[in-house]
Amino acid sequence: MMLLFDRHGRYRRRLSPYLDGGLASREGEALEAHLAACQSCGRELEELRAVRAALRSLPEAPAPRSFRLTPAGVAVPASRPAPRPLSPANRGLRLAGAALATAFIVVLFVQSAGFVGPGGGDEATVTRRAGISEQQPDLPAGAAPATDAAEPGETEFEGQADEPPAATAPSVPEDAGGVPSEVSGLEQTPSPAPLFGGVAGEAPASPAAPPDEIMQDPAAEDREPAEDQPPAEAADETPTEDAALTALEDGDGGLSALTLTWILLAVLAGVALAGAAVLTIAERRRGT
Amino acid sequence: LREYNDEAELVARGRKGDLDAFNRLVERYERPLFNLCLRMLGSSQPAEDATQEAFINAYRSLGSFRGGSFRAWLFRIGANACYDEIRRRRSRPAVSLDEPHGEEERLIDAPNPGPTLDEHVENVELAEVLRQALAQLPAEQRLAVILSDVQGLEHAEIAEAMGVALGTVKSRVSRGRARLRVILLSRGELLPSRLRQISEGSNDVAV
Repeated sequence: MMLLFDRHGRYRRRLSPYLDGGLASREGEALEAHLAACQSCGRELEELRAVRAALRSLPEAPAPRSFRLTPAGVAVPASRPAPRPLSPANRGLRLAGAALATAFIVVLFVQSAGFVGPGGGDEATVTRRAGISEQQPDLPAGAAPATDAAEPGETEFEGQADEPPAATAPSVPEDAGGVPSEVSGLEQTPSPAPLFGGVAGEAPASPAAPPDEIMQDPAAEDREPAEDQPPAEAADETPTEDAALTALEDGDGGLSALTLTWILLAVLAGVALAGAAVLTIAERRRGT
Repeated sequence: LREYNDEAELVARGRKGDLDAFNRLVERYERPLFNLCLRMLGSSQPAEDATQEAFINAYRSLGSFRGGSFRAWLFRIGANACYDEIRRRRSRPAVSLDEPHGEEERLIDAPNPGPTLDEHVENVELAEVLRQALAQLPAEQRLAVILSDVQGLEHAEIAEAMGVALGTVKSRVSRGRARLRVILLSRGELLPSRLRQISEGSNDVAV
């Protein structure tokens, strides 16, 4: 009895596919044999056929209007999707911050571990100048709207920063001019940061219009206190490239590599920041 | 096949931003797509909105069309617009699918001037019963039954439109019809006399 019921159920499930001609010939023949013997399945098949016929008999309604698209209807999004938690600009700034933090860590590591001997005045100048140019990008990076983004980089760096001065200062007094200036530069970061963030938040135009100013102004401010300490070298206004060449001509392999690393990192950081700034501006424009 | 080629070209032009080319596709499919939405949602105004939304979405995502049946691709977008509307209704259950809808009558008598008054009244009644019965199906079964039995698509194209396997389509159509049968039986629509009427009335439509 149970077996019979199961078989019956199996046939019932095949009624609809049978209606559509979707059964293999052997299955179809078996079902037809069952239908000949089973009244209830025969009735059910007719009812299903009627259901399908009724659905087919539903008239097709005319389109209530034309659905042609107009350029305006397509161009203006009906509803803007909610802003994503992390915008491309924020990601750019985050990236720049991370790149800067990494750069500082790498350079500090190289300086503290791989530094062989004092490179003299030239080296100090180059290092300090590179350090300064490194600071200017750091300024806006710390001020990035995504403050939490900058934090991991900063804390990481601070942890590292504690060691190198301790390691280098006693052995190489001359180099102290370079390293502490970076550290102080880092410590300064929080104070200009809100300023930049505030300006950026209130007047999108000001960071938008002169990206160059962003890069230069803080540098000018930072340079003066740094140059106050060694006035003699401050007067020597050789471009960074020249200094790098001079450093190269010294013939000290480790030294020139260090110098080049500084310059390269400064350039990279600058590019990353410029990109982030452009992204921020673009996004502000798009948003408003 | 010629129409298919023509369609591929219209799609290609639409993809490059040629709105006129895309609007030729709109003209070709607005009626079937509107009817799909109408049967899915049960009333005219939401169906109209879903149709418009579907065409806009289709135009914006033409780039993701990978060939095959454009109709199936478009129906899929239309079905998604309907699913969205159904979800919205669930979140504010004030609007019910079972609400009788005045517009339905107007929509039904328009293309069917042939039958006598009696038959006309019966057709309207049957259409209303079907509308309510369809509303009781799970959305996926409803979509499968509408595409298969109202729109007359092949199961393979339905599989494309629903993004599921052929076997899934077959089982959804089967279950949908089985459930409709039970609902119609409970309303006395499938009594033997009525059965004959339905099959006679649909002779001219069913092929």
